Amino acid sequence: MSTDPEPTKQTDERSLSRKEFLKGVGRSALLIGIGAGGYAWWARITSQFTRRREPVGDARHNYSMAIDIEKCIGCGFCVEACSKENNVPPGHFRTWIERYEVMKDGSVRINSDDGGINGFSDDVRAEDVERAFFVPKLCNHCTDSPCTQVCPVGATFKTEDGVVLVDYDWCIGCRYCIQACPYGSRFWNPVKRTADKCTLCYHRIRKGQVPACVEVCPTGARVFGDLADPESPVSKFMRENATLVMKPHLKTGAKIAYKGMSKEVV
Amino acid sequence: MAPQVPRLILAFATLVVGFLAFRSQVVPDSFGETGFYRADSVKEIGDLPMKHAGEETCATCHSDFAEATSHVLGGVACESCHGPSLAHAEDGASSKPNRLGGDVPCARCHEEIAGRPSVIPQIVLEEHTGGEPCQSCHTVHEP
Repeated sequence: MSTDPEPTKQTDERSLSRKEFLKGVGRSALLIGIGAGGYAWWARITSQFTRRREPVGDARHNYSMAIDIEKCIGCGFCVEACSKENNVPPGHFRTWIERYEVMKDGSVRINSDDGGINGFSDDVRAEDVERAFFVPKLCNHCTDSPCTQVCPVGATFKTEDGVVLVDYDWCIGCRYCIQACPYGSRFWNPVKRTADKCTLCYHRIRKGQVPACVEVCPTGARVFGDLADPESPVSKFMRENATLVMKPHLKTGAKIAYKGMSKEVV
Repeated sequence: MAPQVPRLILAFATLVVGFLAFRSQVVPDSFGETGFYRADSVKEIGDLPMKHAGEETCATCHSDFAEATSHVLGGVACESCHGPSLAHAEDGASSKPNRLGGDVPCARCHEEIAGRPSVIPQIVLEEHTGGEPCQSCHTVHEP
């Protein structure tokens, strides 16, 4: 009878075989992998709610435009320049000119043939017109804009520097915003198949240029600038002149200020 | 714990996780980072190409017109009549501004119509020109 302490058996019970050891390592690695992957996935999902970044538009600016109705001569160069600068499809307008004719009999005629893109010509006898004037119109870039409030998908919004834009890649084309705008400033762009509107030439003002309509206006009827800067042309213009915005009773916070606005327009 | 409770908890957890997973796939990357919109779209719109060069750019080569003619000094921009000309400013040879020939848009501003303020010199086209082109008598840059 042997008195061997059977050391091999004891060792076997305490230590792992190579196969079992590798199995354990593999399982641990898999678990760690699943855990890390799950965590990364979870972080990606939740970060969508918490991610913040510096906005592109600088909140220290508040871009706007002022319009001197008394200076507008109805040439339509602004409409033409806007259409070319922004590839606006024919028959649609980001900015347009309306002519108001207050007749001797008290009635008011408003005309805007092709948005005034080819200028205006007379279609009534001059002696029947008591008073007439041109009103350039565009998006008012409202502070409390109805259009951005109704968008169901967040495809239209106000930038930090005070410009209302449309995200053409994200717009689903439901056209609620077109109905919501009380100024008729929005239109359906049949080429992009989205809502479209004046961007205050955001691509130009971000590069330090003025909007195309302001650039080509031959009489200086359009004044562009930064309302946050007291020395900008628009701030100066609004200090020096009595101005009014369109439909102030709607409390949209319309920003485009008009000098010489008449009761027929408001 | 009743046996259906853990099953319900599991079912709800699956729904919530499933919803979050679906949402993370369909919501664009930069959405909500600066407000309820896609933050990248501001940059995309701001980076769109321009077409009008602006009078300062024109004046770098054409100062003879931009700084010395009464029409331009009076406030009429080069691109009011010549149209968008940034392509010309970037490559003068391959792209030319509009209206370098006879087609002048004088009547757009100077024809007498209802509503045009009297500070602008105005003419009744038929009486004034008699069918002659404006340039027969006027220099367009120095009318």
